Amino acid sequence: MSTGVVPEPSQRRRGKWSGSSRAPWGWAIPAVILVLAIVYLADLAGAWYSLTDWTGSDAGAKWVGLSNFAEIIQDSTARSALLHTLLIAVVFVVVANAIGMALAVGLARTLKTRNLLRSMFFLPVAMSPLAVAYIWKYILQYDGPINGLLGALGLKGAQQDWLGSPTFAIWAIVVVFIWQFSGLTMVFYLAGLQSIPIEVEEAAAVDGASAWYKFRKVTLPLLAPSITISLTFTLVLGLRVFDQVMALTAGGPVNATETLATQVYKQTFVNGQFGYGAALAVVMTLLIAIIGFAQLIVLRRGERQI
Amino acid sequence: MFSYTRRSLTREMLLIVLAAIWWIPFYILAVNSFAPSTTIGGTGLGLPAQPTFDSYVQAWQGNGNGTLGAALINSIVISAGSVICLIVFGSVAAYVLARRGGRFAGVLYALFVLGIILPYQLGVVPLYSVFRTFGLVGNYAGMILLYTGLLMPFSVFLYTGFIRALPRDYEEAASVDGATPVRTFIRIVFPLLRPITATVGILTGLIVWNDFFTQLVFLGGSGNETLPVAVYSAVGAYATQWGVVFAAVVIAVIPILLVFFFAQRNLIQGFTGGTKG
Amino acid sequence: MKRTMMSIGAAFVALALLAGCSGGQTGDGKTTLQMTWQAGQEKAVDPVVQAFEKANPNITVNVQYLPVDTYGQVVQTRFQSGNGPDIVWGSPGTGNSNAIGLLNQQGKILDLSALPFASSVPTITGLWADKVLYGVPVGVFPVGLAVNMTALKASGTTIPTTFADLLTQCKTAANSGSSFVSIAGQGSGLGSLFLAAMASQSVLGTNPNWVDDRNAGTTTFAATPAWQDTISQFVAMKDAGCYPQGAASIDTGTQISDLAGGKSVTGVVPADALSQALASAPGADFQMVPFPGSSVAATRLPVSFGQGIAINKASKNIPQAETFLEYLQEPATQSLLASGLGAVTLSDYNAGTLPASLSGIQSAVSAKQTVAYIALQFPNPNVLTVLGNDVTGLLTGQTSNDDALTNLDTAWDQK
Repeated sequence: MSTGVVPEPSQRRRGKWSGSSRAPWGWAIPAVILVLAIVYLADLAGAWYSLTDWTGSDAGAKWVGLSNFAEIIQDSTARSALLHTLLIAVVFVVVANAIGMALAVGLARTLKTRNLLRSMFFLPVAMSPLAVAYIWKYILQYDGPINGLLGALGLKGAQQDWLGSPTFAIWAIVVVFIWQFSGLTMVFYLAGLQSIPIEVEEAAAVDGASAWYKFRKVTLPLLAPSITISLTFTLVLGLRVFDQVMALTAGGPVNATETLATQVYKQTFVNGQFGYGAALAVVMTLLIAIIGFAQLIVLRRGERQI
Repeated sequence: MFSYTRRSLTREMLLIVLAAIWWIPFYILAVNSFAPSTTIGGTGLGLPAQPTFDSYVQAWQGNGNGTLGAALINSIVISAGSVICLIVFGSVAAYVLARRGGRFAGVLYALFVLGIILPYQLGVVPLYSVFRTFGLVGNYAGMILLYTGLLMPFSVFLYTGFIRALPRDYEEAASVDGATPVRTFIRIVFPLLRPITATVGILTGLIVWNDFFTQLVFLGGSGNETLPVAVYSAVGAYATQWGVVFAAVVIAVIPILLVFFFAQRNLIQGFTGGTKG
Repeated sequence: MKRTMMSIGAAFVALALLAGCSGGQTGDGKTTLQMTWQAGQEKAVDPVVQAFEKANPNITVNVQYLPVDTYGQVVQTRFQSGNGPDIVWGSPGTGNSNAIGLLNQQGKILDLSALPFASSVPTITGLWADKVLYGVPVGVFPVGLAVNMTALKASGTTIPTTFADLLTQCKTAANSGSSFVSIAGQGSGLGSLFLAAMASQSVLGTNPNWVDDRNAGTTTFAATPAWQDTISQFVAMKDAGCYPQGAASIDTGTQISDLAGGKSVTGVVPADALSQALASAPGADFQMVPFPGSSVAATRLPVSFGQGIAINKASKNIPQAETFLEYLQEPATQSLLASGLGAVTLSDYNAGTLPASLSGIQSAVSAKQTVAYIALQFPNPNVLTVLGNDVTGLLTGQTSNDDALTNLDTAWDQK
């Protein structure tokens, strides 16, 4: 944590805070109980179904061991869902963070309209994913505004059935996702920028450093903690992508935009394969956990090196 | 005092243009919500020839499951209740984790961080069974309890990061003066947490406000339907009155936008500390 | 130590407070029945419920209207958690994710066979499973070609009487800048219904027992010429320019608005879609005719008993729920509900009396040139999902004609 702008003087002064007994352990109990009961116990109970062939019947479930997981490996739809999920998550994370960072740098200080502009870029974050999907579905439909614009520009050849094309549908989802959440990454980076003392920036300006040099050498290192938190949040969002896909393409055309989350839903509630759906959900959880923690560790290490 | 240079003026112009492009979808939303309800399939990009409030009136009256006004109140109660619980229980738990340190606090912290990524789809059937047994289905208390549990990891994670970066000097001074831990927390620590409290409040409030499926399942048929349920229940099998849906979406987003506009400074400051986790 | 104990105590009190205010029940002898129904049918169902409550002052029916896309999920979650509604709406059989036949297989549905009206529910409704009646039909829904008469005139086309004629009309319409056949190419809802209706006509028209044969394993999709014909007809329509541009991303709602707005001239829809969505469009002038077969004589009208209601076996109010179902069987209620939904009552259908809005299919019904709607008889919902994927895949070229059928065989055989 070499970049901690807010210093931690007391910690440095003393090894152990003399008043450590002043924060009673009991205060953590409600939160811990709630999380154990509502998140962990419920998920464990749900995960148990992944080891059964339960189809929702009152006759109960038969223990089948790991065969649901073996089936997932064999299932080409599940495999392509995994690939789509990773593709959406990676592109979304990279682009949304680049846009958010650019917006934050542009809107950090000084501009008269900055509060209004920040709110404008944040609004999509505040909307329900379903509402966002419905608006974009209208924009992306074949005789919608995008193709209308292309036609008006004389680019009729570039018109596409965006959501019905096996090639473009997944990118359409990525675009919608980026549009909705760039405002969130902007807020993360604005926070990081605010912690940069104005003197540091002024000093760089007086030195006559180029804007890029200033960004690379002054701003970026100080943004490192923001980068970590923003990448982690967007990654989890991206790997969980569900509502937007269901409302825009429902996983189509012919599974071309199926993700892990839509497959969990379809196997469980459309096909009634509760056991198999739970196994998919377990796979998804492990995937998010592994990728998320790996990324977190790499980024924390990177923070120290910048 | 900042004075404009040509460069910052260009930057501002550029960002204004970009923001305008960013808002095209909202323009479409607004245009369609003011279009006459007889226009099936949207009006396109032009302004409606005869703008009308019909869709808003109809959206406000709601459908078979209740009026939008009632749904708005239900949403406010559930969102506010969940946010308050998340702030109260989350901040004190994070305070303990951040100030105690040590291996046990580390384990608890990991428990909360892992809780952020667990998908709740896995637990929804067991949760519903248990909630039903305890009479927590279909009422405010159940929804607030559910969201408080589901979003607690998020709240504790953000608070802990912020508190770790907070100097301890004031607390120590208070303890020297002989203040009780409760008093120290309420009088000294909690006010210092205002920025991160804004962050936790807005982000968790947004999630609760916009969540659709949980509310559809847990509140279904109780007469306590929330905004998302009221809005999307209007999406019928064959015909959807998009004007009405879009009008309802506009009504649902206005409170959020107002809160953000006035709380954004605190929200951003909250992250400033939060990113130090 | 004492302080820790106190804070633990405080924590539990706080939790108890959180969990505290749960709902109570009134004890005045009144019963409230919970019923789930698909959203969009409020105008048809509410009057029936009001009339029932008037006739039975001690029973209140609380209807929860659920959006189509999440209907199956919400109902399944509630039933699996032991909190299913007293009365549940759904499609008969096992072929749909909202099917009450699936709930019946899971053991969640009350056996109605002993009730007085049971014998009057015919097996063709698909509501009998092994001599057990698990639901009552809501109405009869013919599935036909809805024709937008205004768009028909504007495009210079005529109502087709044979499939070859249909392809000709498609070319005429395409030349005039419209499309002749609307389609929900995204696959769900009306998308899979379209292909299922075509298959009902050609497959069940040639072999009414095809489903039994398929279940017995004596035939397959891939080996049935009528199924091959269905798929090639679907592709022939694509090649003739029948469908609108960008068909693969059109969903049910957009198809209906294409049809209502005259962007497309015709579309295969069930009777309730015609009455609820199309007839209400401003200036609409619609007719429903049978989707044309290879010849006039070979044309068959698919007829669906697409909706029914059943009682939760675990309901605490079974007698009251039975009262509601019995009330629903009364001729006056049947007419009220059917007219609201745009369906035909069973007795009217048997007598061959159709409402004026359905005059175009009157002769087919009178001459009994009808077939069952095949999708309700599918053994699991995945077959219909695959059929919907076939619609999309054949449009985008992702699926070949042969794959379309082998995929259906695979889905049929899954456990």
